[in-house]
Amino acid sequence: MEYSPFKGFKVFTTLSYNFKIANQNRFLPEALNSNMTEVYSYNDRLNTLYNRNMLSYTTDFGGKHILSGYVFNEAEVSKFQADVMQLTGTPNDQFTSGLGYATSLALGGTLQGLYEKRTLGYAGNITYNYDSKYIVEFSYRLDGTSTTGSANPWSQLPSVGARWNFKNEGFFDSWEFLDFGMIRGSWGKNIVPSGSIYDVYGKYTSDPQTYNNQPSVTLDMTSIPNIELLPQTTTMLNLALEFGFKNGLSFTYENYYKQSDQILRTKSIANINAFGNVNTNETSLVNMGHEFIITYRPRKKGDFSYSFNLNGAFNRDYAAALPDNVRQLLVADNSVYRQSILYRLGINSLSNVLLHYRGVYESDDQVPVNPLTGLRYRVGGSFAEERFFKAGDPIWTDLNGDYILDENDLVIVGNSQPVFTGGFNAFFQYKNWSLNSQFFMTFKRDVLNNALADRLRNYSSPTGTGALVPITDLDVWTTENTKSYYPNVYDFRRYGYIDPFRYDQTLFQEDGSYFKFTTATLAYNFDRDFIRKALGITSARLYISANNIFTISNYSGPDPELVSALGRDSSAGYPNRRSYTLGINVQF
Amino acid sequence: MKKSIIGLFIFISLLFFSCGKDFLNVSPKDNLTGNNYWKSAEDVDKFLVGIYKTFRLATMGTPIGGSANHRIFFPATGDFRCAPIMRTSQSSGASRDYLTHLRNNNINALFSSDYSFFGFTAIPKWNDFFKMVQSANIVFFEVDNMEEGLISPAAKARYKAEAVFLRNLAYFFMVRLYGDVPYYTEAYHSKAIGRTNMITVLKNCLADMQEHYQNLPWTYDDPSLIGNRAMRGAAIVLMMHMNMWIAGFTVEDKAPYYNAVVELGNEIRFQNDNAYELLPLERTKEIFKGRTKEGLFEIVQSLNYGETFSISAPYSDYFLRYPNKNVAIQRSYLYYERNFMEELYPLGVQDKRKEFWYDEHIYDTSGLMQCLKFLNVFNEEGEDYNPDDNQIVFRYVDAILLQAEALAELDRDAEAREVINIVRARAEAPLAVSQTGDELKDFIWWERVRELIGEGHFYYDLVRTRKVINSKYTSAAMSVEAFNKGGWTWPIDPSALNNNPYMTLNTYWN
Repeated sequence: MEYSPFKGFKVFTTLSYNFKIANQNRFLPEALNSNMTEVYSYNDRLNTLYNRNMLSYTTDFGGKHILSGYVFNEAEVSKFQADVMQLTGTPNDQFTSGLGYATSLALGGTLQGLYEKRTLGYAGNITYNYDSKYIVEFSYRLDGTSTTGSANPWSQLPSVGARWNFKNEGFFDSWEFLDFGMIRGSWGKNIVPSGSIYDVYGKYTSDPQTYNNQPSVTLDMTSIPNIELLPQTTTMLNLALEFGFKNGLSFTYENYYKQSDQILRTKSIANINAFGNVNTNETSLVNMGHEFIITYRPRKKGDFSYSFNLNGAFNRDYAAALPDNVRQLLVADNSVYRQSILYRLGINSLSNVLLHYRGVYESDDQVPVNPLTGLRYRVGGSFAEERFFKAGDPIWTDLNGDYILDENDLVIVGNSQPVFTGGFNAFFQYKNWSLNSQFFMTFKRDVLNNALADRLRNYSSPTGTGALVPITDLDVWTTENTKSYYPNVYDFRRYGYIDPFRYDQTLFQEDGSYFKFTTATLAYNFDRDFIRKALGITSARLYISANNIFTISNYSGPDPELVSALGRDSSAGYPNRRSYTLGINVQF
Repeated sequence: MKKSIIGLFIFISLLFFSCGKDFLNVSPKDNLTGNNYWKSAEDVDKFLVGIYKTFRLATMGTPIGGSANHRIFFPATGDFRCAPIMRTSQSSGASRDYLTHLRNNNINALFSSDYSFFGFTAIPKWNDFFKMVQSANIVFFEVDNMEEGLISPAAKARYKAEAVFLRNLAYFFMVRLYGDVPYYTEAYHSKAIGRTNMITVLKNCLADMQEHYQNLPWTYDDPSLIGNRAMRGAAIVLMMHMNMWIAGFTVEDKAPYYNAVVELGNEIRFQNDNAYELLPLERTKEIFKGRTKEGLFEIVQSLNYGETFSISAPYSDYFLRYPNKNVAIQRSYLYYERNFMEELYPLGVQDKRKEFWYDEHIYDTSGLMQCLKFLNVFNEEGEDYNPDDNQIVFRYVDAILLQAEALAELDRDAEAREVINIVRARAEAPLAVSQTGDELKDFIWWERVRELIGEGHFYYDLVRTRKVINSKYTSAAMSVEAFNKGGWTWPIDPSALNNNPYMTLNTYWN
């Protein structure tokens, strides 16, 4: 609903209510369910109530001043519940409803995921515009939700922005070739309550067993409730320059600084506290960088038109504060990969922690010998003969010089986050034909090539289930080829002791920079008037497109694009497929 | 028309303009959260019951959950360590070697073999005791912060006193197990702290108890709560125990602690509003089933409620045989050395405990000996259930014995004889008449052993009186050096070191 009592002032209100139900009933006859029939019945309901009320006002005075503002509030309530009933063993296939003899196998109840959520928001904005030259904007938003039940559940978003359209100034009048030009800057703060209601107040559960025949309630001891949990705060400061020329070339440059404070982190605590973890707000990260966009879109001349767009971003992130005021924090990876991550103050927040690989021992004589004990360099653990390095084994730097390879020899290397990412887009059109192509690039990123590691590790168990892909393309140590890049693959007997192809070593850390021609689409648009008359169709478009066309990269793994957010190869050994699509779009 | 539109506007707008923070407070259907808890006396009560349950899990375990919940807590830590126990043909297998290790104080051997069925691995882990401490601290804090008018000030004081009792009970148990332990009383404590000297811990505990114990009732009107929810008598006997422990270890003047024990003893004996008394020994079964005027603090067990201890928890398991066990068990697992039993019950000397707690095989060394103190057996022949007794933690007679001991230590021999004769008189045994000095102290010692056998006190009494280094009182005496280095403690599980740079373990056992 909308109502305007006088000029420039408007009142809006919106109210909506949604109710959704879903039912599912299934019957499995005896033959399909190991001689036991099964009746399954599921139902869920979701209802949502939403309301928004808004007042807005716009006025201009003195011809050049425009002042506008609005305030609104909105609220939403949503509830969801799903119930299931499952009955096994009806007397025979004819009974397909709730009649069963095997009642002890009957299941039913409310499924997990039951929720009731409420959100409430208030917002206000004032914009002042002088002659389209100077524009200042203030806005403020307050949001509350029932899931962040801290003592103060409100998130706040104050922001201030200013813009100077310098092209409109008198002294630029002579710069005829300049189409537009402005400088803008903004500061904004985003305060978001972190954690759930249980993080703040704790979860109290009713115990299954009684004491003295009396029921009891205990506090869930997984995580300690923290009433003083602070909201996460993000402060963003940016400054941008934008200008464009009459010939269609435009530039945008933006410099930003983003600081995230009081990031929620779970920290394990000493067992004397009975609780397992505590949630703290002691972590801070800083992101800063430059972004640019260059666009060239000349005026259309005749039947031919084209445009280019190049964009890129340099980004650096730093750890600015860590829990307990420590200077570094190791997030140990206890999986088979053992690729831990180190947070250290002042450097990129996500660093790899790896063994330093320096090549292969060409012969037994090359293995260093401890002058004190007369023993060769070896892998830590028991004194088994197999643990001592010999020809064909990898050379890992013995960082602490104790002639034993263990976790004390790990080094901090690499940055799993790309320094530069960018894209390039080109568009051509001639009459009804158009060609659109896209390129994507990433530079300076360290990738851990787990795909190659897996391929080599499969040789540790020649009779195992892992596929033994030929490794003839790799420079692997053999008795004939002692000056190799990769260690001996075939010494599977000592594999369990040496683990030459462990994932956590610099052997598998590679530069993951790449340039990729991602898509190209060639399309033909049928002439609208023609097809409407001939076929009665509003529009029709025929196209052919290719995806993942080619990649330029030094990365030896299957595809530098198939990498997890933490820079680990996630391809499982297979590259992205190249695909071609032939299609037609018809609109009646 | 226009008016009705405006009216509708205002109605819809008001629907959501008027609400604020309360609108955002949702009560989840599936779990309770802290902002909706602590609203009634019932909430406090249920939470406190949870702490008693944690104590039961820590000490007695539960048959649910497999061998991780098995516990041999009271027998291993209290009754068998350094005790003159002997194995029989029923327990001669290697799987029962732990009994020999306990007798010989060979704790390393205990942990080098797998006796996990008996739950030994749980003893070095203090997690459940600290869970009691943390939970009790939370109750104390939350009850203080409850809105006015939800519960009466008297109830508030009583709940706080109950929380204080429970956390100090946990600390006392931990001190006896590990010596020095970390100490804190803040709710939601999350810091890493090191261990505090055990004498300081106990002094802190006593100060804490002193402030609150008088807010506990002497007893309850509801008979089901007697002895198994905190009572003033339980708090007093706990404080007596703490004083005796300090007196045993302190290098300063011991007299103030013995005096405190005498004072507390007088308070429990003369001001108890007829809440406590010694029952005649004919009612032995009632005493150890629990909830009597003799019980001060007990851990509940009841087949009727489906609440039973872990199978390896009770002392009585080791001193019963057919017909009190199933037919396969014709011999008890253990008997006491004959000279020990003759010390307790000299031949030809009258003592009703000999009649009611033992049978004619009292001195038998072939496995026929039984201890019939805990004999509420409800199983049918052929079934294998342990007796359905509560575990007695503190009994009224314990307070009397401690007072007698403190009086004797203060050389107030006449008063000490008078107090110890209360216990003697009930058993219709010859009274103390002329004993003085060390003779009287020994008399009281053996009376304490005789009375409290099987109730988890023997080893702790040996330690706090340092009798554990004297072969007159134990057949497995510890060397002075071992004692001073902490050989009397239990090891602490290395998991205590995780995330805690200030933590140290007990180095004697490793």
